[in-house]
Order: sequence, then C-alpha cells, then structure tokens
Amino acid sequence: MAELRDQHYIEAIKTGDRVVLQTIYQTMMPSLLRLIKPTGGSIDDAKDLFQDAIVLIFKKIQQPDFTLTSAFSTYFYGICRNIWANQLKKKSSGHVTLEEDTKYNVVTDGDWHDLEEQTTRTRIFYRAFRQLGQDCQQLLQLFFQQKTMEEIMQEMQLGSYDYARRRKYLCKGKLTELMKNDPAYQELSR
Amino acid sequence: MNKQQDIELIEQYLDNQLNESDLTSFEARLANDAELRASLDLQRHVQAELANAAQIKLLHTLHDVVQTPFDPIPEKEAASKSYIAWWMIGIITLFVVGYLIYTALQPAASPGQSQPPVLPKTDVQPAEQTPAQTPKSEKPAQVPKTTEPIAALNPADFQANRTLDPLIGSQVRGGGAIEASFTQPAKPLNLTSQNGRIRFLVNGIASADEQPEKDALQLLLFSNRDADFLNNKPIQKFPLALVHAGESYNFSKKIDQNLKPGLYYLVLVEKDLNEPLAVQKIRVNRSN
Repeated sequence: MAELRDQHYIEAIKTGDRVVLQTIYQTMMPSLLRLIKPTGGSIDDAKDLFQDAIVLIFKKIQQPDFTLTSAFSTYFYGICRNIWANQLKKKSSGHVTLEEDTKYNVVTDGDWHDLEEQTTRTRIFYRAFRQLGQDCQQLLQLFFQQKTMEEIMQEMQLGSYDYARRRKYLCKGKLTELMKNDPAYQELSR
Repeated sequence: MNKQQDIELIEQYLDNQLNESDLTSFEARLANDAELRASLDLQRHVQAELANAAQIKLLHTLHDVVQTPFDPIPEKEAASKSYIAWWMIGIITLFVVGYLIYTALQPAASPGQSQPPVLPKTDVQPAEQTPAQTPKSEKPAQVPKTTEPIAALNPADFQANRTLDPLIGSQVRGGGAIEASFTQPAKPLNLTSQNGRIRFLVNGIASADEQPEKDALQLLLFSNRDADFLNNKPIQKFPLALVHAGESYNFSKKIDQNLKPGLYYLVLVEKDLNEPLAVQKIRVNRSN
C-alpha cells in the first residue's frame, strides 16, 4: 500500500500533478518546519526547501537507473535535511550545523552534489523567469520547445519573423541579466 | 560588441549556425574572455531550462502550491472555520441539554397538570419510568450526563493544530528505519477528566527492516498549539517498550495525566528524532 502511494508521489512529480503535490506539501511541511525552525529557518525557508527538494527529485527520476530505495517520506526528508544542512553551512560559515545522521547518507550518495547544484541553478533560472512579462515567458518557451516559426508567430500574434527574433533576444537578454544579478548566481560563480 | 549581439552570437554558436570564419573568431574570443565564457555557460543553461517544458510546468505548479496558507502563527483565518464549527456544536449542545433538562424536570415543575409530562426517549422500559412513580421531592433519575458547554471553556484550547491535524490517519514517515501506527486509539478520542486527570490506553504496532532497539519509539503528548509542536515542546514524553510479536512489534502504554480541558495530540516518533510516524488527537472535556 505504502509502495503504491510512494509510486503515486513519484509519478505526480514527473507530471506536475497539482493535487498530489499539494498533498505532499501538506504532509511534509510539519517535518520541514521542525527541521529548520530550531536552526533559525523561517516558513519561507521551508517553502523554498520544499520546492528545491521536489525539483531535485524531478531531476533524479529522469535518470534511467532511478529507484526509490526507502519510503518516499524518508527519502524526501533526507533530501531536505541535506539541502538545509548545506545551506546552513554556507549561511553561518559552519557555525550552525545539523547533527550528523548516517540514516540519510543514502540520498547523498553518487551524484548528489551535481543534482544539488543543478537544482540551485534551476531555482535561479525560475526566479528570474517569473520576473519576465507573460509575453516574454511564452515567447521564450515556444522558441526553445521546438515550435516552428510559423506556429510561434501565429500563437504570439507577431507580425514578422524579424520582430519575433528581436523580441526573443531582448527577452533572453533580460532573463540572463536578472539571473546574473541574483546573489545565488554570484555565489555559484565564485 | 554589445551584449545583445553577444547573445545572438552565443545562440548561433550553440545551434551550430556560425560559419567557419565567425566560429574561428568566436572561439578565439572565448579563449581570452572569461566574461564571454560565463555568458556562454549561462545561456547554455537557460536554453536547457527553457526546453524542459515538464520542469517549467512543475515549477509553476510548485509556485502555486506553496502559496497555500501554511503559516502556523497567524492562523486566525483558518481558525475561523473551526471557531464556527465549535460555536455551532456549543449552541446545539446547549439546546439539547436545555431540552433534556426541561423535559426531565417537567413532572416536578408542574405537579398539578393533568397532562402527562413529556419524557426524553430512553431505552428504559416505560413501566419503570412513569411520572406517577417518581417521587415529587426527588430529582428525576434520568438527567443525561453531558460535558460542560463549550462556551464556558476557552475556545482557543479546542482549536485544531494546523500542522498535526492533517497528519491524523496517514502514515507520515517510515520505511527507512521504523514504521509505526496506533491501534488504540484508532480514531480521535473524546475523554472526560476526573478531578483534572485523564486515563486512557495507547496501543500500537511497529515494523522495521532491522531489529530496532527496545526503546526506539517514543510517544509525545502535545498541546493543540502549533508552536509547541514546531519547537518540539511536548507536555510529556512517554518511552515505549517494543515487544516482539511475529514479524512486527507491539507497544502499549497506560496514560494517566493531569490535563485541563482542551485538544491534545499524541505523536509517535522515533527516539531523538523529530519526524512524526503517526498522529492521533484527544479531546479532554471537563467533568460534571
């Protein structure tokens, strides 16, 4: 029963199923809050942590050899714990740490650092992406999701190919500028 | 070359659209220009993110999901619904209690009336309960026991805990080390305190991949306040002894605790860990 539910959760992350993600959120937030509050975390930190963990799992399950080796809640909590532990280390220069718990080492095996960095990059990207206007967001997605120029011009109601192209570069330029100005990006580039 | 031109150039480079001479000069620039290399990395990353439609959909959904109120401190809004529910229960209880007392007192209050008084419906045989047999000086024997009207208590003590309440009945964690659940109370418990004390039995079952320590589980008793749970401040911690029973483990604990009227939560945790394994709630009513 629990395995079926866990598989259901994984499937929901793959497909972005809002209702199930909402359930995971409501179920996991108490544990996340209790994880981060004693070390100075806020409810916004918990929300960020929740999103990062789901994105990291999304990336992980794209790998063909992915298997869930523990209960989803344990796996999810372990990921959050490790992300939070690393954030604490950075924020407090190592002064505030979480107690070591080898039980969660399994989630940090292998390509953990790559996945964690990719997740941070995705967070930076999305934070900037949301600051763009709706038009820019849509145009960029259409361009990079293999739509033909005709489809793009029709969907965006743009008059000419040249204009669509210019708009794309402008939007992309704005997006990359926003990302470069994100402190997390600057920290990552050091 | 301005930034806009660089963006175009980088995109053409990533799409393999530069002719040979442009490619040579671009690569020469790359070799000496750290900023251009950083821009190339960034743009490569941006294109990969933009091309991942499923991930963008997920990010949008997550962004919406976390907008759902989950702040355990300012819970006035969310609590208003439970306030209304409690007040409704209170009012209905008052009506029922009032009606029952009124009907039960009828014979004594109007002894001269020829019309037989209305009695509350009971399972007691009518022959033993006729008004004629009830001595006038005595109180009627069948005044039902009720808890004190909620309006006289502090409604805040009966508010649902927003973090724990959704976890009741679901297996919150487990699989990694221990899974555990309550078999008793199997559903929310309604108790009446006797001289301020409540007594009840907690039973449960646990399973683990490897043999757990005998005292691996703890039962925590929390108030209904979110802050107490979030800051890990239970009213009481009860150690639980695991008893091997076939492929699983049983535990049992008699609780005898001083508690004022209010809503409380039983939380099963693995010793020294914060994550709840199972949650149940008890409502303590004041005794008559």
